[in-house]
Amino acid sequence: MKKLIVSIAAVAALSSAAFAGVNSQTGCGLGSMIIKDDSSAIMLALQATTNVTSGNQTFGITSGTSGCKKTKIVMNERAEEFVASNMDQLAKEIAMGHGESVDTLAELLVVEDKEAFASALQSNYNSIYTSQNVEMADVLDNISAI
Amino acid sequence: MVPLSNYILQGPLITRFFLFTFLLLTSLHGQALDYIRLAEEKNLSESRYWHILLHMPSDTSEIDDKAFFLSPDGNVNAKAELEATVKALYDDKGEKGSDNNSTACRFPARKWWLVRELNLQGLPELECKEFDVLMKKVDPQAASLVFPSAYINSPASMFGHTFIRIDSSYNSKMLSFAVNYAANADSSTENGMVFAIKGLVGGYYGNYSLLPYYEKIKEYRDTEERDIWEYDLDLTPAQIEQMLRHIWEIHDTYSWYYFFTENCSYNMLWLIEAAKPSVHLREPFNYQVIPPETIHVAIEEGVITKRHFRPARRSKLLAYEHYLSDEDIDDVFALSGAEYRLKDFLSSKDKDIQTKRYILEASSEFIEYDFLAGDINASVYKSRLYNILLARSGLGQGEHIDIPKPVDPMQGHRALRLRAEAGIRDDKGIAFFGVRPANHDITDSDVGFLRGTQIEFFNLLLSYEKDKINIEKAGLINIVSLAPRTKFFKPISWRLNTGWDRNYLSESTKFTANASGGLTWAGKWGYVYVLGDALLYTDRDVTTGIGGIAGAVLYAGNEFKTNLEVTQRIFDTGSDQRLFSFSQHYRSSKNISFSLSYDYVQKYEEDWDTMKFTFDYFF
Repeated sequence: MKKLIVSIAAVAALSSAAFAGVNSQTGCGLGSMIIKDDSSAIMLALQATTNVTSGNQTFGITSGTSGCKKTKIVMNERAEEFVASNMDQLAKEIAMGHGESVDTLAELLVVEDKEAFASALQSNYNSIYTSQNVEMADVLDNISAI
Repeated sequence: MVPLSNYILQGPLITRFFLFTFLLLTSLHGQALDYIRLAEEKNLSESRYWHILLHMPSDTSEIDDKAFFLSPDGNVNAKAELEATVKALYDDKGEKGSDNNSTACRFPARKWWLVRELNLQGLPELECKEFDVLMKKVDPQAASLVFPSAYINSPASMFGHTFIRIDSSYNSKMLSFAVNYAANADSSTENGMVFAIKGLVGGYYGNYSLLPYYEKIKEYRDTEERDIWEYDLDLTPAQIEQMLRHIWEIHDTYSWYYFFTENCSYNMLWLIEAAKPSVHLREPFNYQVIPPETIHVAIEEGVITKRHFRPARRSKLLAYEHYLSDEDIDDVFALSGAEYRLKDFLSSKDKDIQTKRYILEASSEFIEYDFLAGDINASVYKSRLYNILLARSGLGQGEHIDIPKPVDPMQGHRALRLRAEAGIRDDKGIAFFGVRPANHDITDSDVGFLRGTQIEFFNLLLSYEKDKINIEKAGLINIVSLAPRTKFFKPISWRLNTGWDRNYLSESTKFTANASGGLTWAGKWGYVYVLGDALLYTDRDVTTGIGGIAGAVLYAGNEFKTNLEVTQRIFDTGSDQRLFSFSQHYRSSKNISFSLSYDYVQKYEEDWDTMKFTFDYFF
């Protein structure tokens, strides 16, 4: 598996300086999702009548990793953005051994055998998610060390 | 007379420079003028496509931002705007070493189309770095119209939202990009009422956003608990490229956002037409655009191919309920709650490994639900999730749960309802005629809708008896949310109602407002509900009261549905009142239903018994 992952480091990263990151405020670790608006039902009913952007919706082609710890190995920027933004979903799917996010990560890392990838990640769960405070960079570094 | 060319070759340097520039510009202008003449001959500014690019349904553009127009009156003069665009393309230059602000780079869709229509030659060579980065990263290959459907306990959400997803060469749709249009307002600082009113009358700017689709998935699937429906669009990569060029042109502009007309879904129609002008999507909408209606129209225009369903977390948890016993559910609560006993759970011999897997998976979803609802803080969430997943990872892959796919919302009836009824009230003939602009009530067919959810605006019903026309009902807003209690979810049901009706003790039409709260339980057979009600009627004075409501809605297949409801009210005047209704509905097709009903309304003098036959047509 290791060889596979390291080879993807060569995938060129596109410059995206012109576009603001859209996810910069939600974090790089677990628990970085959008918290529900706890308005009353009536307020919600009224609000739903105007589809309103929450502050994080800009015109951006990256979800941003600017506030995150960097990976040790040179990584595909898309993979970094994806993992940073989907930490919780990815953790759940890795623990279950299958899922759309795991398949997406396999595609981003140009891994051919998705099933083998998913099951390798599952059986190495504790070395990928080493603690509850792991961040995107740890997860990717740990995956590439498998 | 020295020929001009001699001056250029031999005159003083500064003169030579200016003359050269002058000649270059005049020749470019000359070229532009030739093309403008050609455009006039071809009547290009009158073409449908040029109007699409300008968002101009007839004479005035819907884009309110002056910066979008190159001609001073470009927002009302398509011809002047076309001419100004051709000129600007020939005059084009960037600034400060970058071409990003040139006309060609700001308006790539206009340029692409004009080059094709007029065969423009010799345009300045410019490098649109920002746009090229966007095009390369988005890598448009396919597109879909995405509809997050209604979420529980928010009937207003059934009006929904739509946005466009642009797929890349990646297989994973998570790596697609979402193009979204929304009012730009901060919901946390504004009062909900102010918010709704400003949204209706155009008090906010609408803006486009582009962001990774996985951000939208998180927003709808996880945070808002809405099932997502994806309707693939019949567009070629070249057509989607042009759509992206057009998105680029408008992404920085602003327009006033109108909830009923120029809203999120309506603006997606311009984008689809910019990609494929042969489809006519906007024309059917005259006075209101309800988001799901735009998909109905897209289907009628034949621009929708495949449909996909992406379940909300809530739907996933409800699916787990089918696989877990009550005792298993208690384990989910214990594991995701404070009574933490993961080790005992794993070593327990009472449950087989697959049940343990399901319990742990459901726990990981449930704990996220708790966290998003604000019931636990981030550090508690992280530590519990971490441990639950660690335990789950040790149990191997196992079986996948099957999440039932609900009926496609596009199988549901359209928004506007016309109603004709004939019947007997107290042994005398009576006829009714009704019109309701939007959207759904709990007696309408629920195929494609969330059961127990109602939102009606301006429901008008007139009756005709003994040569007299009466307003039977003139609703303002009638909202019902009968959200069933399940093993995992314990929501409160509620109902809000304002308008005029004839359900009070006197015979005339009275203004009423009432609010109810209660509980609902559901099964495959249907659902039952009980509600407590606080109400007022304006008779001569304002009469207040309280009431109790009990009801049931039963289903037999997709075609048959029965509604029963009994209400007991006590007024501050000391009077009380009972109401009862029964109706049997038959869905003959997507947009046609027939019903038989009986209503009893207690009155001061003679009580009303009404039996009637109803024909409903939706469009």
